[in-house]
Amino acid sequence: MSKRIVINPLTRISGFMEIEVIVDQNKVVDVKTKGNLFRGFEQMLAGRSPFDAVYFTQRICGICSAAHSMASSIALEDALNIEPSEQGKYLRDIIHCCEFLQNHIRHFYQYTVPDFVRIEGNTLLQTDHNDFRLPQKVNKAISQHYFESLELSRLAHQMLAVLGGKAPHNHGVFIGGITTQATAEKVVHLDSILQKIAKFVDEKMIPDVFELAKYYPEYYRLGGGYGNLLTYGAFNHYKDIGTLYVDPLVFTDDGIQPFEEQNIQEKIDYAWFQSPKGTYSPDELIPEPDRDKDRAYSWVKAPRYAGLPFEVGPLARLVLSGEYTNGISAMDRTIARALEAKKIAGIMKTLLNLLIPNTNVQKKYELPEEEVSGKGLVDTTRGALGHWIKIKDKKIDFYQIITPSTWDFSTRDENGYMGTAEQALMGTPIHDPENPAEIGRILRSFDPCMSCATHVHTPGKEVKTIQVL
Amino acid sequence: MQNIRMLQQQVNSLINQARHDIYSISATSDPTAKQVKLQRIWDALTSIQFLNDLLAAHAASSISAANDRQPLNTMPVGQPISPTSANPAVAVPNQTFTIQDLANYDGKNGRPAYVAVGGVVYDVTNNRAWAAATHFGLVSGRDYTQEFASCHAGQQSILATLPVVGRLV
Amino acid sequence: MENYILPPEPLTNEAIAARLTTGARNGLANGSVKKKNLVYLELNGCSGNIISLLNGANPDFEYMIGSMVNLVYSNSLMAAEGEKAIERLMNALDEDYILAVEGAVALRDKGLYNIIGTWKGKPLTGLEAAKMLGEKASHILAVGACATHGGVSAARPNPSQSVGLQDVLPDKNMIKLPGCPVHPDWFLGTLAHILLYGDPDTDNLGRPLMFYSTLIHDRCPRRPFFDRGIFAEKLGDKTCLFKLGCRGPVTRTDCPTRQWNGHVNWPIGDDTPCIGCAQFGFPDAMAPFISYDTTRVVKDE
Repeated sequence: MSKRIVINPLTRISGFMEIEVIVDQNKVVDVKTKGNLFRGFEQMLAGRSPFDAVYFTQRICGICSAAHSMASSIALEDALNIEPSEQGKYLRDIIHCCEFLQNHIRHFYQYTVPDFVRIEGNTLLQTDHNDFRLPQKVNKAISQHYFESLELSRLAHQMLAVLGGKAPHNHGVFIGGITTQATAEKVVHLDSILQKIAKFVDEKMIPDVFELAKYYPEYYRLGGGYGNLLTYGAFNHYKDIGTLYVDPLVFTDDGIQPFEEQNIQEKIDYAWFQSPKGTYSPDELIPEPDRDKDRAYSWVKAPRYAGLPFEVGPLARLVLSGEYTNGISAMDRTIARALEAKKIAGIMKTLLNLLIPNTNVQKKYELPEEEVSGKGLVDTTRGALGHWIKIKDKKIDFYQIITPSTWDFSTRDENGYMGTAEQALMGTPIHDPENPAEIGRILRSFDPCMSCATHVHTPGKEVKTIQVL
Repeated sequence: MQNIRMLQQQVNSLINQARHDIYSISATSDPTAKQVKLQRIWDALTSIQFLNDLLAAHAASSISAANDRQPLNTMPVGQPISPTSANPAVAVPNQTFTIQDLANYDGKNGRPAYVAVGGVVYDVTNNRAWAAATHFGLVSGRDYTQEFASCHAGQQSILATLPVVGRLV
Repeated sequence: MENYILPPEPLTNEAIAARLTTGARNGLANGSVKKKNLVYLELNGCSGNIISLLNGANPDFEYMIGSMVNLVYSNSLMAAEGEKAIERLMNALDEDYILAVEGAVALRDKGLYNIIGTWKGKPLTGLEAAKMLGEKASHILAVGACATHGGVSAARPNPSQSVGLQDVLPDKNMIKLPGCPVHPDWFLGTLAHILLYGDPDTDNLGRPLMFYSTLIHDRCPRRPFFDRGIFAEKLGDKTCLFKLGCRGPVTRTDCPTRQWNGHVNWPIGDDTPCIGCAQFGFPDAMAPFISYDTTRVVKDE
């Protein structure tokens, strides 16, 4: 006998997400992930000044705004044929490091920890399931770190503001690098905070994640999915120092291959769009919405690489850079996030040491008369982020955004592939269908950001359901 | 000259208001009321400083013009201003603009930024509310008679502070 | 001594905020202040205001949920999920509560462009939640640009037909805290004022005077450059950013004195123009954010 379970809202993520699973004999046999928020940034951007894209696209997401400033700046540089200086790249990547640290610390402690740790004494943190296994002492220690971490993630944003003006929604990242100059006083300000954060990651965050792994070992076997991994590259291709983290790579059954941009496509087979055809390249305009389309069940499009769904994010990067070999699962994903925080702290330290003080990387930029286009592909906290821009008559003519969460939470396609997170949930044993803690834990391991997905949800046809109450 | 009189009236009114606020602060024991009054005094000082700068600018330009000067009408201290008073009769220079001429003054590439209201062309190049020659989504080089009427009804005094460059024909 | 009022207490925004938070602490310690329930509703937006709230230092988030209010609902932070989370939202209606809303209200297709959860098997739209909770709240705070006037969520062509909170609750008093995002002190200071002294004084647009009274331009450290007509031509310059499109002259906040993220920096301090994110009308009325063709040029036209 099968049951339909709906979790809506999936809390402790950025934005709104609904998950619908069918459970048969206590195993997940079907999954649909849906974003519950639509704003339509691509439409809003058309007609605006191209320079405004950097600040405007940040408003896509409150927790990863700097990621969008990175991708839009790189896309504009590509379109306007501007080569940022190495100092500009270092400075911009330092801001990006600050966001990684802020994001990973908040995601682990504020979003993930309450799934596994019972935090007493506050209405907000009361849970409904009872699968808490940590010994009292460990539970208490990690509960304290939940609150301790607030200072560190706040300080990570403070570092971001030192070079970026403010956070969220910074002003610093821009064409050419960043807007202001590094000075000795700023560098030491950053270094001093970075030391505190690195210490916290080493002494608290990484040990804490392995404590969780110790008491919830089955999550090493759950939430695996296809195992296809993709990165656009992160902290890579510096002229003088090469790659500090990972180059653009993909991993499939055929092993590791170089990433090639022309293999990216978006499918709309199961999305509510008119479909004279089902597959589009990122610089093609997606057709008009069509809610009556048969078989469509969501507005989330389905990015594919060489026709296959891929996982993006910290685990993908660590595996592709050869630094993590344990496996692909919900727990590995969570561990990778903590380990990556340490990695990023190290990269940031390296970049800080390379700064030449008082370097002004800004110029007076001009827009060409002719039509130009550009793309900005960059790996950010949650994975591969792409912005595609076309400029005509000195205005934005076309803008396309494919976010990491669109990769991880894509819909299925005509070839029968489910989305990455959908596949990761398939076969998951559900211990208590009334309180299915497993689903949330597995989905949060992907760090969903549905603010970024910018798609729309329309309720499907009503079927007989058993609601989780 | 009407401009200067108007500025002076505004300054006097602000000073009066501040005096009254200082008096009422000393007379009240309500801490919230005190705070509001102090805030208002702060704002008044800011406005006085701004108006003072404007007066100084007028003085400088009238000295350089050096002809046709009239003595300032000294207004009695404390007379309230009425910003809704009739459109001040501004002396409009002889330059005339067609709407096409006006469109050239868009503030770009070193050109000044002009806008027209009620047939008069004003220079907003360095007006603080017109950063990058734009103002709440409006670009310069156009006639904004209707927009002004809908957003700044009864605020003719705004126009009085703008340099006039000519007439829209 | 009580009757002497001048010189006044320090009136910097920092001092005001410090007095409010110290007062809040004392009130809680001596029992004259009781923790009220706070419902924090995220609607059509980027959830950046709750992230900004986590950036608050004194008070910080731990103090806020421990000593100031009982935070009963927050999509981003609460442990409960699914309908059980929504159940907590519904239960909040039975008691007195303060409502804070971030994000705009999407009106398109009866609000279906922003669904915040499922209740009794049916989708609960942001529109329904805003109306239902707004009607019964003892105080309402519209937090951030999207909630105060639609903000970026309502940017043209406004595909989701988003509006500010007041549009769906036209008869309710609400305090408006514009900003993209809101500064944590603006939110926490206003909350503290409500808890300690009731509604703070606001201007005619509903903004608390203690944070939104003065134009950025009037306290800008680069004002002398404006007055002398010395303007930056590109980002990174240290002079007045007016010609690049600075909206400081039309935006009322205390950014120049308060600054951001532990008071370390702010957009103009980062050598970029203010984009008016705390002005009504942001973003469309504040665009373009950055213009190069209006800066002074030497080339002949």
